[in-house]
Amino acid sequence: MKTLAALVAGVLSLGPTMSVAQTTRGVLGEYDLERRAGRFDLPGRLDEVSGLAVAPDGRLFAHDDERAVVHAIDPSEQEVTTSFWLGDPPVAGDFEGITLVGERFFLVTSRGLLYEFREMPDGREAPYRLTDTELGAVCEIEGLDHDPVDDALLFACKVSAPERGTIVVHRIPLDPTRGRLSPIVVERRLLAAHGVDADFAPSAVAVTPAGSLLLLSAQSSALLEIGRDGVPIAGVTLARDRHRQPEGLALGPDGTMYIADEGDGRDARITAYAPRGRGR
Amino acid sequence: MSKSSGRTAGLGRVAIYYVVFVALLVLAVQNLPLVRDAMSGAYGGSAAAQEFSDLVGTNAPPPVGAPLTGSAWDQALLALVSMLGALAIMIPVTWVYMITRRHRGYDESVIHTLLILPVAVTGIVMVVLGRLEIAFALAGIVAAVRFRTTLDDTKDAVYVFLAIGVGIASGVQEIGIALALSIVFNAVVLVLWSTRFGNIYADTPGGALGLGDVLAGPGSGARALSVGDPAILAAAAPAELAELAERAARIERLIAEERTKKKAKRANTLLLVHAPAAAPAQGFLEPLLDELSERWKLAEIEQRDEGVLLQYLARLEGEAVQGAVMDRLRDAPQGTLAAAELRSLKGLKSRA
Repeated sequence: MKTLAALVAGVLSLGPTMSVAQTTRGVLGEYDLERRAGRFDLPGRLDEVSGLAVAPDGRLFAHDDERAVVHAIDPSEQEVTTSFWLGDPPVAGDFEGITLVGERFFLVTSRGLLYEFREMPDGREAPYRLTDTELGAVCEIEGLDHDPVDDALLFACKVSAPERGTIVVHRIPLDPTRGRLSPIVVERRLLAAHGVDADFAPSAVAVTPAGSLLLLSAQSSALLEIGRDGVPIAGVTLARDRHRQPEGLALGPDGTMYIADEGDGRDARITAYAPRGRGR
Repeated sequence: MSKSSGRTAGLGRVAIYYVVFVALLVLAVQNLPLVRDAMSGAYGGSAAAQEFSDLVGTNAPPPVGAPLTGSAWDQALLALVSMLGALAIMIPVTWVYMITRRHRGYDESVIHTLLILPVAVTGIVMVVLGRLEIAFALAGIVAAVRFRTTLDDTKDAVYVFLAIGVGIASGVQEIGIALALSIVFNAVVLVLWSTRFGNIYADTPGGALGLGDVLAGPGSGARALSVGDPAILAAAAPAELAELAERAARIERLIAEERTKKKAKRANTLLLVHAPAAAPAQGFLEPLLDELSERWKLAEIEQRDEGVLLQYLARLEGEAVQGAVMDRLRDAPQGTLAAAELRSLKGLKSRA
């Protein structure tokens, strides 16, 4: 009986560390994912938040997943400050990711339609430019970010074709005269060594200051860091009770990592994690 | 099946069609990305693109990605969905067209045009969309070929405009707008048709008048301006249908001749005058018609038991003139006329 009690006590003492597998490698190793630096619920209209981006001034930008509506969020005040939209009524689509490069905002659909626009005041319609990345035929896009190293947009595929046991991140330079860059390909067989299951399907992508890529998976509830050569560096599983359906990922200028979770029946939320040694 | 039950069934079919179509569309939008694209208007964002260019100015960075074309299969499937959508939206319009034109008759080719035209326009709009040079080329081609036709009824032109509108909306992936256009158009047409809005004979049961009504029908007697002995006027209505039909056929030929004339010169009134003898009556009537009508023609002199029936076709401008004619008829010398009445030919049913 004492043995059983000791075992129970031991299990309980592990607490959150049972739900978050930690890594000490790569940029991911710099984050203590057991300790949230902040968390706040999003208003009802953002229940199905899909993508997340951070402006240089620290503001977050999130978008609806079925309408081209963009919300600016002040993380310090934990509130939506402005909302604007593309088209009136807002364009419908399956929107999967947002990023901004300087003043250029990009919003992408799962089939690869890319909307470029500028930030607008609250309640205004944003003029936009619509192009086709032509990735729709080979990739169901789930994540978008800007890669400053190659000055290119990154498109993470949830499903890519042909599926040959790989995860694919496509790269399209902002300068169209440069032509397409070869995609970053991750071998799924290499994931197990980093504690990430082989079915890892990206739902968001973000570039770290070191130039590596962070991939977030709602399906696996995990974070994966890969090098620019596609080799996995580190993997972390996220606590399911803390991250119901992680769909958005962004790194702030101060290094804060933001993860947006869809509501899944409740309010959507944004969770912030600070690098080790820097509290908030 | 009676006329009214047939009409109700036709309207019910239109209503059921729309309900089923909207339900299927909602399901398709929720489950089929291609249909969602066809409803999104995403390809019709040229106005937004122009505003974007205005916003960012001449130093705008080049766009990332290609002009919006999608893969060849995507385009083909989207075109297919858009064209079938346009066709499906126009089907109830043709039903309404046929329901509302049942009595006047309609041209089969118009029906076919209403179904084919939006399909063609959808395809053309999808080809031209976003390509200014092709738009100019198309304008040049159309100007050169000169597709022109004359429609029998100006209202047919409105149907053709609708077909073009539905085609354009479908071509820019705004099937929702095309559907709304179709529903509102049909609703307006049906309301105007069922209430006979703007028809001066709206209170007459049975729609436009037949020639028999004009000549002798008791239903039209209430509208006729008449003077003289009502018994004689009643007697003027032939008891025998065969006699009426024969007379109607004779008068119809004259009216058909009238239709070949410009509308401004067409006779619009039938003047029926009962008199003991033709010559004195003509001596009184014809100077009167010279004075008050734009033009007139003696259509027929019919010998009757009680005298003669003079039938004049005349063009009288306005009710005031009609009233003046009737006043002058009342003042006819004793024994010249027994009775007279004016019957309007406006709204008279035309025979194809």
